This record gives sequence, structure tokens and C-alpha cells, in this order.
Amino acid sequence: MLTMILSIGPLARLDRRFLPLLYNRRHFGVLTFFVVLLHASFMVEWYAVQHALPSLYDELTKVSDYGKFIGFPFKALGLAALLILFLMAATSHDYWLVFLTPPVWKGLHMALYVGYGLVVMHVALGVMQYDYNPFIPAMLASGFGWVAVLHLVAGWRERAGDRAGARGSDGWLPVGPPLSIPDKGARIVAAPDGERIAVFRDGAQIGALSNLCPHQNGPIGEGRIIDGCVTCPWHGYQYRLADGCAPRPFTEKLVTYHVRIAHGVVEVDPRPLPPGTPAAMSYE
Amino acid sequence: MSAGFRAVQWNQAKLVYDGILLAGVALYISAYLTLV
Repeated sequence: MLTMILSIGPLARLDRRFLPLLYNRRHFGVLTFFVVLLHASFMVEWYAVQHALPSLYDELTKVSDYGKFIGFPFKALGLAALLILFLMAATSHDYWLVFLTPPVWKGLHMALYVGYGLVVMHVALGVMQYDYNPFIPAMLASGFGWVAVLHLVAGWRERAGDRAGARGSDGWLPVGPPLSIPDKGARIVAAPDGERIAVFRDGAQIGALSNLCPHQNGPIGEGRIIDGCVTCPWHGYQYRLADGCAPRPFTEKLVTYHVRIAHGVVEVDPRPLPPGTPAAMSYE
Repeated sequence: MSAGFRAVQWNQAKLVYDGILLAGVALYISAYLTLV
């Protein structure tokens, strides 16, 4: 299940047709936690039924075993993975996303990669040591290999996109001729520190906003201008292009960036302005 | 764009999604037991 979940992210970046899988990824994750919990309870029950719980306890607390590789207590690895999944499932509701703030929440949920590594080792040091059927390592290696390759390919593509813009001499980032920005859409450029900037065009007005929506850090640059406002594709949060502020009565504000046209090419200054600073320009 | 939090309950679509996932889990486990 984790192999499938971890595939969804890179697949969605590689081909937009996988996006519907992304919408349900959180639900998939919580279900995975419950399946893992069931597995853990079956395993404990196996010991309990034989009145062998003390030996399970001994297995987990034998300190000398933790120094070995092949003899490492793999059940402890499984328990650690269960704990990570529990933390993720417990904080999966949007309330936690707001309470912890999106960057912290996302950081916590990136622990899934640690959990995945623990699960791979849990299988490698566990059942693979008892049952020598080649099917098991084949499945494990192919699942892990698939996830790794997907991530490398998607990461390579994203890096290439971010690096594509060469640096202007005074640090301003070139975006392209004004008409290369789709009307009512955006082109996304990456600042040297990795922050992405969405440069929108609404007719003859060009403005640059932070690519991260303050709601859940969705990619604003992948949205459209609807009803005169830049609209985030994830949940529809809207902001005026002119100053990055949400229209009244809403109070969200986006970081904005200066734009200019030099030699027919739109350029954006990667130094961020305070959220809500009017910075858009008209070029006609 | 409001700050109301609602407990999100199951709906028809989610039940179908869960059904497919659980069927997948059952399929995986039975395939494992036959092949291994």
C-alpha cells in the first residue's frame, strides 16, 4: 500500500491524468494505517494465544540484538513504522494542517519516507530471513525500485524546469515574452533559493505572486484567473493579481514580486515584497 | 475561505473507494498465500 501511495506524488507531476489519485491520497494513507494496525494486532495476538507474550517482550528488549544487522529485532522496526503512520493518521485532518501550519505539517508527513524505509527493512530482516521464496525479495525490490525510479524521474524533470531560466545580470529572473504567459494563466519560475514565483497575465496586466497558497501551500501558479482573481487549483482560494490580497471580506495576503519588461522579456525580481504590496504592471 | 472545521464523514464515493482498496488488500493477501 505504501508503494502505491508513494507513487502517487511523482506520477501526478509526470502526468496530470493521475491528479485524481492525489486528491484521495490522504484517505488512502489513513486506511493504510488501519491495515497496518490490524497486522500488528494479529501478530501480537499470535503470541498472546500461545501465552508467549513475555518472549515477545524479550525479543524487543534484548539490547545485544540491536547491535547486529541480520539479527536486528525487525519487529521493533515494524513498531516504529506503525508509530509514524499513527502520527500521520492522527494529524491527517485539516484542523492539524492549520494548527501546525502547512510547512510543519508537510514536514511531519514527509516522515512517510522514513516509515517506508523501516517497512522495507522490517520485511527484509523479518520474513525474508525465514522464508526463502524468491517471490518475496522480488516484490520488495521491485516495489522499492519503482518508487525510487519514479521519484528520480519526477525530481529530475522538476529540477530541469526550475533551472531552465538563466539569470539576468542584476539578479532579475527572465520569464519570457509577455505573450508566452498564457492569458488568465501563469508561468512558474524558481528563485535562486528554491522558492517558486507564479507570474500571471490577465490581458495586459502582469503580476508576480508567491506560488504557495497560504491555505495549504497549493501551487497557485497552476491555477487560473477566474472572476478577475487568481484562483488556487486546490481549494479555490482567490487573490487579486494587482496586490496579492484576497478580496474583502477575506484577509489572506500573498507575497508579491516586482516585474518589469526588459528587451521584450518579462523579468521578475526574486526579492519578495511584504504580503499585499501592489506590484503588478500593465504593459500596453 | 472560512475557518469552520467540520468532521468529515464517509460518503458514497468514499465507500466505493474503500471497497476497492479493501478488495485490493484481500487480493494481495490471497495472491501472497498462494504464491508463497
